[in-house]
Amino acid sequence: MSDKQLILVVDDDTDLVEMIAMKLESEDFRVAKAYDGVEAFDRIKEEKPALVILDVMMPRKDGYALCDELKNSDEYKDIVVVLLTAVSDAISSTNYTHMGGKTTLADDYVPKPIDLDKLMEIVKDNL
Amino acid sequence: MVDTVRIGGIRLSAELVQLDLLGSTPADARLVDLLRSATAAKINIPHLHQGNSDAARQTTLCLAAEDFLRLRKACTAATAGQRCRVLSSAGTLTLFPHGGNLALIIRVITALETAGIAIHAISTSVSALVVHMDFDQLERGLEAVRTICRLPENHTPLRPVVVLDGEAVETAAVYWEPRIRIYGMEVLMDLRLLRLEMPAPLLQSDSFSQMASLPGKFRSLMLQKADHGRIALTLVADSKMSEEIGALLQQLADSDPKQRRFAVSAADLVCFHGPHFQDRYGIAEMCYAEVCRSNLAIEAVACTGTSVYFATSAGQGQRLAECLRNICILPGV
Repeated sequence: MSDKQLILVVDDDTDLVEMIAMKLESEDFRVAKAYDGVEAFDRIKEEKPALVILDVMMPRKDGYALCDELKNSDEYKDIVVVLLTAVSDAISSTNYTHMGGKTTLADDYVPKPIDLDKLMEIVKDNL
Repeated sequence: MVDTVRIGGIRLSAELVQLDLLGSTPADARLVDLLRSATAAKINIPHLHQGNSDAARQTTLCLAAEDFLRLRKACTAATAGQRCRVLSSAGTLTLFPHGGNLALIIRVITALETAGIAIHAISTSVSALVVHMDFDQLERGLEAVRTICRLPENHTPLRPVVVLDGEAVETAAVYWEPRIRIYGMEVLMDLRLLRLEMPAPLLQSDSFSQMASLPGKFRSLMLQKADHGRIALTLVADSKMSEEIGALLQQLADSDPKQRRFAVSAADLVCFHGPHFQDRYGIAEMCYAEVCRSNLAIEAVACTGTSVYFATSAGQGQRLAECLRNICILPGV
């Protein structure tokens, strides 16, 4: 078993998942990937990641619902959740705003479009 | 037993219209006009690929079926005097992540050809392998690729409209910014651009299947339907991998030199990725217009998913990147 910490990246934007995964691997993390909230929860149960990078706007189960589920569970509440939220001034027509993200129980929030370097800082600060 | 490849998931598109512009160069100005019209009408171009053969430049672009009606006039103007093929009901099947794995692509092509499904184009983004086919063949295509892929147990293919408890779920955010926000830009040098042109169907030949066992990862791959029932495969890879692929493709070309042509050249690849590119109109136009203004020779273009790739001749990559930085916002800047 590797000593590297496992990060789960969850987003239905598969290219973004890949880019975040490449960046995390270059920073010496192990990476698991999921593409919606349902898959993500299964992966969390199987692999118990140290941190989850979680998009909010996803099919089957959105990031808000998954975040609530984790943070209200005795078993998973200690897993760090970093939400990827939308920027409300650039995207006027969405229910998934950065402000909305801040009302959740997530440990940290990164507005999209994300700065990958900033995201890495947030990941390291939260572990 | 069928050899399978592990992937993370599959996505099906909504109905698209695919245009293949088969005209000879220079047709760039008219293409820029078409893309400008699309931007003015807030129409997204989810896929744009361009490849060069001996004398001709072929452009493949897709747009949502409902948008095509709004853009019909501009399409007619852009294609006047050019040979143009219109697929009025196309769709895409996307597999992810491809991991630069040639074996996956070869197995997908073989599975689809075996199922009798016509492939109208293929392109790749950083994660996605996108296969274009007739819209009414998407479900059959999904079935065919499932036979050669291992998916996560709980995976449900992503569909264009997601309904949960009777309500459509919001999965995309459409927005506009005057410059294109990107996650960073890469200039990859000392690569090779390989191009094979031959009559369709491509690919059930020994040389082609042998490519599946080659180690290494390709950078970008594109397949287009060329003129007269021919297909053109364009591949960008590092020099070591290219030697091995090139030898096999050369062997394939040599087996029928009248019908098959293979060429390899040194190339640089400029690539970047950004948020919501698949949902945001204007990106194809801004990039393509800027590149045309630069007068740099472009060997291949692939914009799909959230990735934009421009292949140029060796030594030109940095200049191309400089010109693209004019229209982009880079992280931390």
